[in-house]
Order: sequence, then structure tokens, then C-alpha cells
Amino acid sequence: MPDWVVHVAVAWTLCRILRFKYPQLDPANTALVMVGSVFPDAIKISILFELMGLDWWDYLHAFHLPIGAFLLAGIAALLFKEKKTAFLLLSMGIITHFALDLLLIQLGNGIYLFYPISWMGFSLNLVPNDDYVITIAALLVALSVYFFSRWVEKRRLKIT
Amino acid sequence: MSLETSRKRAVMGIILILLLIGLCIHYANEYEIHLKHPSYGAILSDYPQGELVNVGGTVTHIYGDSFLVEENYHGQIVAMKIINSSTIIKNHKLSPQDKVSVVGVLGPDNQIVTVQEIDVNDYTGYVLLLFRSFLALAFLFYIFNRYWCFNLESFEFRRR
Repeated sequence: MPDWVVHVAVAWTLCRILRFKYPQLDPANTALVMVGSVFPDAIKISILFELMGLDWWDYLHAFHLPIGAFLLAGIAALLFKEKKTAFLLLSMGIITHFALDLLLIQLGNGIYLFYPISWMGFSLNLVPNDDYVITIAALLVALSVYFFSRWVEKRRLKIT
Repeated sequence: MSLETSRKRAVMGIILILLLIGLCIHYANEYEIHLKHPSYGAILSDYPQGELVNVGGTVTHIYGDSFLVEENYHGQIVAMKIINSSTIIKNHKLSPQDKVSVVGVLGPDNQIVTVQEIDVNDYTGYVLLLFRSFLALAFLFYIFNRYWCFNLESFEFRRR
């Protein structure tokens, strides 16, 4: 996985850019997209089991598949008043997660995007698993978008 | 189906959780059949000597040109010796505790005799990745808590 800094930064950046056109992506909704962006990594609970000497990776791997992550989003969305909106926002974060994970170098089959319909794995094999350059790049892009959006908002205020 | 009452929400939640559990069990039982190369499951049951296999785990010992990898496979510790790997591992000094994934030909006595591909994630990089992810998680918790709060009476998250 790219680390969670990358996942969260990319989700935020995407929402901030889309907010210029879709004001519904306000900070509260953006927070939901950011949460959704780490949902597939619920599989990392296995690290805690591993510390206890238990191998649960294979059993929890379904969390790291689109269908499993969307089911998790469905369960989480039940805890919100606007369930449909919450589900869509969490799902948007999940999609950004898999888009980033597709970049990773994998010796195995890659991500089974269409499981359980198909076992075809997908991977672009571009970025090593623990590469921190992608983290720095994602943070720099997020920072640029942050300053740009502030500049745009100040200009809007001056005009009005 | 309207999910306005807490009873309907609970029913839907249980259905989704059961679906997720079913998916987890199905994946864990089926994924090894669909792997590009056989892995620990096949090694322990059929021992496909002479075939290409994909094994991974934590480096425990390094002996010149070969090294030992250990993996907890469903509670069973499996050790594999990777032989003649130095020509494949370029620009990387292997250390104990590094995580590796190896594709190679399975020889006798749990040995990989001809390594074709190897992916090394060094231990320090892995720890730093976890640390960065922990920071992201703390930030995510703060952001979510800033815009959403949990209402115990309605058992729902609401905007602040």
C-alpha cells in the first residue's frame, strides 16, 4: 500500500479540486471521503493479530477488495442520517484508494478488482510498496492545491 | 427499503455483516486456486517440486548467497531457504527482518533453487511506513471529530 498519508492527501486534494464545481463537497463531506480512502486498509487489523501469533491475512483480505470495502462502507453508512450520501462519499474515497494501490509493484496477481465475478488481477507495477517519494509528492500537491484554493477564495471575496 | 427506524437499520447491518463474513470465508478458501504461482498452501499439501512458486515472509538468517525466510501460514511457521539470490537482488543490501516476496523454482527440502523475481521491503522502510500511517490516522481522527459527532440517542453521526 502507499501509506495512509498518500491516501488521505489524494482524497483531500481530489475533493478540494472538485469543490470548485461541486460545493456539496464541503469540509464535512470531504472528511468522509478521506475516511473512505483508508477503508480497504481495514485489512491491516491483521498486523495486530500477527503480533498475537495469528495469521488472519487471508480471512480479512476481502476488506482489501472493492466489493468488501464497499460492503464496509455500506455498514458504516448506516451510522449516518443521510445514508446514501455517506455511502457515496465513503465509496469515492475507496475508489481513490484502489486507484493508488494499482500503481504498486506486486509479484502476485495484483488486485482482484472484479472479485467474486472474476479472479483477474490488476497491477501497473510502477511504485515500490514502501516508497516515500510518492508521499512527499502527494503532500506537495495537496499543499499547492490548499494555497491555490485559498487564493481563489480571497479573490472571490474581493470581487463580491 | 426505508432505513429510518433503528430496527430496520439493525437488520440491514446484520445482513451486510453476514455478507462480508461470507465473502471473507469464500476468498480465504478459494484464492490459492487462482494464484499465478502456487504458494504455501500447495507447498504444504502437494509440494510441487520443480515448479515455479511464489513465497514470502520475513528474512531471519542470511548466509552469503542465500537466506532464510519464515512465514506464519495459518498458525504454522514455514521456513524456506532462498538460494543464489544475490544476482537478482540488485542495489539492495538484505538484512534480517526485511519482508520479501520471491518467485522461483521449488527445490527439495523447502528450498527455492532458481530465483526469477524478488521484491524486498526493508524493515526500516516498513516501520517508517507504519509510523507515517499512524500519523495520518491521528490526523484523520481529528478531522472527522471536528466535523462530525456521534449522537447516542439516535445512534448516528451528525454534522457539528
